[in-house]
Amino acid sequence: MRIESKITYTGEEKEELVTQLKKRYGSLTSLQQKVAMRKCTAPEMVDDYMIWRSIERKGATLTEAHIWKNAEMMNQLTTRRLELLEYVHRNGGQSVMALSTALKRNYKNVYDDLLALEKTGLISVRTSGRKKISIARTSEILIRFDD
Amino acid sequence: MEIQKTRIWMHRDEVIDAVEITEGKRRRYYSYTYRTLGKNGWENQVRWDNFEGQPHVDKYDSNGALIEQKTVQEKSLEEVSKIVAIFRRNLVAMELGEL
Repeated sequence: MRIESKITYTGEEKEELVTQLKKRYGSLTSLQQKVAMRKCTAPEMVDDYMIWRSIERKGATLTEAHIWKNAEMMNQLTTRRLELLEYVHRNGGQSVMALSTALKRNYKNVYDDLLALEKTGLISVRTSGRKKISIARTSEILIRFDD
Repeated sequence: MEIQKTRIWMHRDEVIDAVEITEGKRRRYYSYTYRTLGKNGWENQVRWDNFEGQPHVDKYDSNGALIEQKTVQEKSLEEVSKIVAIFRRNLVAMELGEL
C-alpha cells in the first residue's frame, strides 16, 4: 500500500519560499559561499542552495509530495481532521480561533488536530504576529494498492 | 526546470527526504537523506547525492557530524527506498560503498 499527498507550489508560494531562504542565508551568493566551505557537513544547506538556484529559473516548477509506505498514517486521519484539512485547503490560511469558530468546534481540540496534521506534513503552521496560521500542504490524498 | 521534494515515511520516526531537480528528461541533481527522529528532531543518518556531479554516499553520527564518505554509482529514489526498507537503522553500521 502507498498513500500519497502532493502539492504544486503557486507563484506566491515560491516567492514565500525565496523570502524564507533570504531570511535564513542573506543571499544566494552568500549561501553558495557557505556551501562551498561546508559541503556535505551541512546537507540541508546544499539542498536549499540547489532549490533556490533552480527556482529562480524562468518557468521552474516546485512540487512537494509525502508518501507513506504503510497504513499507519490512516490512524492520523480522523473524520474531524479530514474536515479540518479540507476547510483549510478551501479557505486558505486560518488561525486556530477562526477555524474553531467556523467549524463550531472546541479551540483545544482544533489546536490538537492541527498539531497532528502538521506532524504528518499535511499542513504547515506559520506564525503571524501572535497568531498561528495553518496552511494546507496538499490538495489530494491518494491511496494505491498496486505499489 | 522541475524541482520535486518528497518525504517518504518508512515509519513514524524514519523518513527519506528527497530532492530531485530535472531539466527536460535529464536529472541534474538528487539527494536522498535517510533521517530518524531523535531527541533534537530529525537527525541525518545516511545520504546519497550527486552534488557537483559526484555521486556519493555520506554517513553521519548522532550529532549530525559527517563521519564517512564513499563514492558510489548514481542512485534513483526507488533504489534508495528499497535499500532503506531492507536495512533501516542498520544502514548506519553497514559498508555503504558496496550497496
